[in-house]
Amino acid sequence: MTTAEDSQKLVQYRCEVCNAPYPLGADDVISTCPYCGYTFIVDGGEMKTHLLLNNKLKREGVVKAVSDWIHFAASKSVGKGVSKDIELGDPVLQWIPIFRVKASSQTYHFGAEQKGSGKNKHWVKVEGRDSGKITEWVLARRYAATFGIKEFMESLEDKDSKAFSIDLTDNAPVLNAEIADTDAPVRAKHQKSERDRAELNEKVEKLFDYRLDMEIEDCTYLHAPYWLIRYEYRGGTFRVAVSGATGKVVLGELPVTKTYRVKKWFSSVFMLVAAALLIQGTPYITLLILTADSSDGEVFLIPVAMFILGIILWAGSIQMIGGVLKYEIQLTADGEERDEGFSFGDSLKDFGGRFS
Amino acid sequence: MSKIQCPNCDGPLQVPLHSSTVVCPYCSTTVQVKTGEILKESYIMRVQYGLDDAWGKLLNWATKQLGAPQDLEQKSKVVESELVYYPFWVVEVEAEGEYEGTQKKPNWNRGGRFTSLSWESVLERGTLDLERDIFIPASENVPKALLDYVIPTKRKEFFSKEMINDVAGKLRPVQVDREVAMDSAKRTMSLVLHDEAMKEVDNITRMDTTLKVPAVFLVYIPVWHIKYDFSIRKYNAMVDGASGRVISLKFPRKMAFRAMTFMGGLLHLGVGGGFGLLLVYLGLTQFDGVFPTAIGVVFGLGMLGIALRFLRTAFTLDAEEEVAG
Repeated sequence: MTTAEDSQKLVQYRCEVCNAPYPLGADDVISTCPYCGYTFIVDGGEMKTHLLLNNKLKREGVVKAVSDWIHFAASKSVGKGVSKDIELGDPVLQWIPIFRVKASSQTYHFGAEQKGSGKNKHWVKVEGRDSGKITEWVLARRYAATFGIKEFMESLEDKDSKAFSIDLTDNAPVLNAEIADTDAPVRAKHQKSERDRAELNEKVEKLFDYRLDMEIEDCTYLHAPYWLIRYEYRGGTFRVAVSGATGKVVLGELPVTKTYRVKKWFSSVFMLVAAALLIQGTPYITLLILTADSSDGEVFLIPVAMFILGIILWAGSIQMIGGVLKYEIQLTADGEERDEGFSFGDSLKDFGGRFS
Repeated sequence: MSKIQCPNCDGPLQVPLHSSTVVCPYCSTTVQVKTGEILKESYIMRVQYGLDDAWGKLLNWATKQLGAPQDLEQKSKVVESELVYYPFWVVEVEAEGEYEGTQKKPNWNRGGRFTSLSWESVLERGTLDLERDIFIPASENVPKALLDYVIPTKRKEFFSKEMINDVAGKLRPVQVDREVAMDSAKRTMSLVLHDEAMKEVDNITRMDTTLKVPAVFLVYIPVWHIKYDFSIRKYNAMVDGASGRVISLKFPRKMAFRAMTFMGGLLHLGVGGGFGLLLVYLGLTQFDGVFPTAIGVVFGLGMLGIALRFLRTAFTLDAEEEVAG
């Protein structure tokens, strides 16, 4: 925290090196002069190591990457027709402040998983240790309010970094850091453990323990190129974010079209019918088992599973219809719909977990 | 109303009822009423988006909403507007916690494989280390939408009365004491710690927490309250004057769109629900009572759900919060 008197002076800040005046935000912790690139810690001295990730794209490159992506993603979801009516805006470049945290990490996890089926069904202990060198990217801004910034951070790779120079920034704004380099390791650790936990929960049916030890080896401040492009489609504006570091789209919006709505409606109704048939089948199967007088109790799992499956399909159908009532959807680089999409596997696992 | 003296310029200050801080009209100093001390950490967000800009952002967001009329921009205009500064306490809390608890774990000691797990309670310990900035509204009548909104404070500047006068803003009084805000932030943080610990154990038996508050500041957030009309109705919206983000928005939906969605809802309800009922009827009268009754019930209820979603869309006028500016 700067004291009151300090930051009042800093509002009309003049660069120590080139004497050019520029505004300094009151939350800024590390600042870069937009004229000469001098980078310093607001309460302290010069930031000695400051890198940037090479910007692979020029304007034309961004436009091409975005056009290609729209074509590809649209054909996967809302229909190819969309790309004909699109008017791309001017791409805008920004340099995002990031801490690259290198550490040697040790993780330990312990859980249990169900293997086999029917009579052979059994629990297996899952235990794992992992150690190695990791690189964690920490956003140096307080709020991740930029479109697609999460995907952008996840796409970063530790190569092609150079010493920062204002000449390499293509006259684009260089954002200042709002968190200190001392906070970065804490955030890096939190970030990694959250991500690992989420991943393990996907993989392992029951996760009991997860531990992470990180020994920080290096924490470097750098800027990475982030492009945003807006486009118009029938009076609406949509956005696509592109990483200049990888040259690829990280996240984009697509307008919802009739094709998409019809597709969603049919899958919704299809799921509903399937749910109805499954649940209808349940009493008959039960009856069949009862009359067959099987001694094996596990056979009753069949109607139970059918019933549960029916319920999941039913709920999925109601959720799926939401796609008909949307204006836009968000898709990742691979053209996968982000969140809200109904994932059959996930819901099944969710449900199964609660019953066993 | 009571009177105190400004500790900075000795000017007389009027203190409205239930106010915990007051701003000196002569020298812009923020004074804490109870202690009579100057509050140095008093900030304000500069209005970067005037009414026209805020209105532009609002229209931009409104036209992106499903079923919004294309001619919204041409046909609607601002009826009323007000710039209100809402005070928030921003409390930075550092928390260290040591927890002890039990977790149910399978007992693997018997060896081999298990068709079912036998559970045992295991005692576990751990430490937590967290840091957060917690926003506590300092005024009583803060709109709900503002509580869920991630407030940007990155470009905050020192409080000055002129800045508010320049844009004819209205200041909401600070009614929550600094100490009360700190306590409430600490409570929030304790809950966060508790939730973190619950990720590791099922049951917490002991929890020692040390909460430190390295920094607290007061910040005034400028919010545009805009009332606009479109054809015969009026709609309300809130736009952040500092970042230009739309905080909350009611917007008109095209009558044609609403009618269509409404019809869609009725169709699903009538045809789908009707078909479901028919199956139930057939099942009960013509067949064994089970087939196709179950299909009818499941299908009919599903169609009812779908119809409700259509109808809700047809009637609601709320927009989602703008995700990113």
